[in-house]
Amino acid sequence: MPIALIDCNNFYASCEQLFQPALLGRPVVVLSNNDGCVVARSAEARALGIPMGAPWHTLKELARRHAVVALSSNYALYGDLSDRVMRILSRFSPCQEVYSIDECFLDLGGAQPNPAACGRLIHREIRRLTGITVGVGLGATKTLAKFANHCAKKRPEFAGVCPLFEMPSREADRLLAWAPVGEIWGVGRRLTARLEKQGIVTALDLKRAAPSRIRAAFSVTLERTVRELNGEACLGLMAGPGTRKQILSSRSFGALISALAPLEEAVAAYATRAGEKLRRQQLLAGSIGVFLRTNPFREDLPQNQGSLTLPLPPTDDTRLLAQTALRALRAVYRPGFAYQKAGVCLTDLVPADRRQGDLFVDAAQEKKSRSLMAAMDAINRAMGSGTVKLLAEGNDPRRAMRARLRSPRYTTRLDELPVARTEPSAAEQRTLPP
Amino acid sequence: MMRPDTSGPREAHLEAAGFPSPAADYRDTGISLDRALIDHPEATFFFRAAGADLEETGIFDGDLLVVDRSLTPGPGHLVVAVSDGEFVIKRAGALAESASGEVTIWGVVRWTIHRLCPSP
Repeated sequence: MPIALIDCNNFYASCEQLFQPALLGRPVVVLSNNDGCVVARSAEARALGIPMGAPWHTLKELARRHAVVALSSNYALYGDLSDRVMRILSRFSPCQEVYSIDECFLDLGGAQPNPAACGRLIHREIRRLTGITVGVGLGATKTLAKFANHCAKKRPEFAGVCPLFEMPSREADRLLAWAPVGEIWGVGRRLTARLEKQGIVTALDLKRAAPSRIRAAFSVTLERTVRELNGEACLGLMAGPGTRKQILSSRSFGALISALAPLEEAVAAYATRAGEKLRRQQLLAGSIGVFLRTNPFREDLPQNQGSLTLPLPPTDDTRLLAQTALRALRAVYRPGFAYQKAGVCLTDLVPADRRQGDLFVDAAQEKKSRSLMAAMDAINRAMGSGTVKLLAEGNDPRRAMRARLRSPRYTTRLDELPVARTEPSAAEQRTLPP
Repeated sequence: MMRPDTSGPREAHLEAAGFPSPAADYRDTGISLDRALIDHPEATFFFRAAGADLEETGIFDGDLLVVDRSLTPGPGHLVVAVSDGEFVIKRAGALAESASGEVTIWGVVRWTIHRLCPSP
């Protein structure tokens, strides 16, 4: 039962190049909220050695020399193209796990008689229908599918599709020997350093390690990874080495903020965004945390940071989330500091269908809250984020996201569509057979 | 696409009164321009037409173009193509080379939507 991992190549930069063909072949970087750091690069920007996460202001010199194009994140565009890609992929299998905005697992067992041919068809069709190029990795387990995807992208001989599951084991092992252990799903930088100390350097070393030894020296999670590398499926669709345990909504302010009132508006707005994410994933939060900090790079200013987490009856009601977040904010706020960033973090997440009965919660009241939140989400989805909001969120332009370099929302706004022209000389141009 | 909601309480009320609506069997889903104009939703994108001399093609300045990437252009089809880094409307079969010598087809223009009466 091969699992496929499909991953869009340089997704954000590809979306931009699709609607601005003049950017094709040029180094393009996409910046985070507030135009702070590089969150995506085109292949050309990658080749220049621009690192992921680099603060944009440190790159200005390099950018000038190589004519790097920097763009603000255009999430409306990326989200729409992602939806299209995911819908096309869902036709290839009834079992799909959308893992992130640009990655998804498909179970190709059963539904597809020839999974490798299916992988090549996926590669071709996504490109043809959406203009986005994907890499496809096929493996016996999710961990191997992830690794096959890495090979599909990094090794040109696969032309974007690596059918690891049907390769002779000697060949598969050669690929595993080529890859550093840090390329394996769930093996982060710190774990890599610890593994290397034990002589486990390549992915093949990890595959050949004794599971019991790994469990004793590291964790059950890593033991599972070893089993998965040996073809024993331990992770079903919708499960990963670490499942999602928190929802974060935070942002740097456009300008430093010292007064409590604008901070309250910001935190209420973040709690609202986090609530939307929570409901979209059909989860309830069991606690909410607020953090607040000054700009650590402004050594000339007094520094302060604080955070506080408060418990909640498991809820997805924005009003309760915002109320509790504001209580936490008032507890950590200190006057006299210029704050640069605040955030709200929802933790202790449980699926919404496991809503616990509570003697003190009125069931009718709760049903009312759910329909109110659903209406709020529907209006904000249809009319644009922030159309309906809590009074506490306010309307402070200092907090408005800095996104001066954002491209038009080509696929979701009628007044921002791409423009196609006829050249004046079109009639005179010579005619070629079709 | 929004449609007036014709389902629901009215007929339930009639049934309760003992008169099942004879129209119930014929109720249709209504007309949706999305469904009529878009065959491949994942591959369909909208463009805005611009330029002065598009009339011979039936496309006017400011028109809304429904562009489908999934179709293979046949002779005479209008396509959105990329030429010198810009989107241009061309007739397939008349794809002349641009200055840099490369024209790629982006998608086929399936419909053009032309406004006759401005919004009040």
